[in-house]
Amino acid sequence: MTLKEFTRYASLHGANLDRWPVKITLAARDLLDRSQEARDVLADAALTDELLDQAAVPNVSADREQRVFDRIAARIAEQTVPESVPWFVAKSPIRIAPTAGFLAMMGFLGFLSYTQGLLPMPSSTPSHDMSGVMIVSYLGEIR
Amino acid sequence: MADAAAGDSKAFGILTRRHLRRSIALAQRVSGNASDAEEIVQDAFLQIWANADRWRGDGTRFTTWLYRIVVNRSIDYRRRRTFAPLDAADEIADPAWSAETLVDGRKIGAEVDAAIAALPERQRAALSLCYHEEMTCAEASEVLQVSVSAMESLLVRARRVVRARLQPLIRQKDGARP
Repeated sequence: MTLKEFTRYASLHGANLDRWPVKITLAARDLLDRSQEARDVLADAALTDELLDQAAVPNVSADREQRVFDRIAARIAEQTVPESVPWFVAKSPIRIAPTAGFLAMMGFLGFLSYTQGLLPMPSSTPSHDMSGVMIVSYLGEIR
Repeated sequence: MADAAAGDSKAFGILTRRHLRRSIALAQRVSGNASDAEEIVQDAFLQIWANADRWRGDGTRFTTWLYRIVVNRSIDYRRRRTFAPLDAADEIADPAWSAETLVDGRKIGAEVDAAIAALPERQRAALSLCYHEEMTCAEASEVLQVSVSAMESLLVRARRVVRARLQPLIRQKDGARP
């Protein structure tokens, strides 16, 4: 391992060799034994590590954790649709009484219209005038 | 996770409890705000629940998916508060600290926090994932969706910038050593 490589690993992983990739640890220790510069680089990285260790650790108390958990659970419960609803709670999609009343009213109005002649009804006698009829065969020819 | 993906809310509850603490800590480190961190994590877990059926489990770790959402949301929240780190950064490189002040661990901790807070967001996320969450560069690169080499560059730059900002402290520490 060269000093340049060693410096790169130190600036990447810090001074703790246990956090370096396992395959290069042996070479790194070997260089440390031989090189004062490598030892200086590692001491320098250790100072940075020491400072980073003094960064505040976020205080995640059990209460705080529980509070967030409860909020998540509540939101999920709001979103969840119950699988089955008791018949006495559920509203049927079609309510029978209003629907039947509406259909009866429409039928009655239709009957009145027919019997009182309010609407023009087509004649029931067949017409023999075929002048306007055009028969098209399935082959598309006009007869 | 497979049970949660099938809509089992009880299984999802267990999963949430298992990862909640670390997620809040990560969100707080990246966003720099405790109350934002709670909202971020809440939203992240709800997003996972809503999209749980998309979970394929094809080698991708659940934590990678979770942390990716947490980090991205934290960065979004952070962008809304862009004024905060700049205010803090003004106090960092003050060479006129007295020895008494430097001895005060809380003061040093605050300076370190400010130096980390002043980092660009992806460098800060890289530092949080690799240093504080002790993830490998490969794992962290999956979270940030960058190559391993890009992740290494982010981490090296983050450490270098923090170090440069805290140079007065380091000099002081060096001088204090026998």
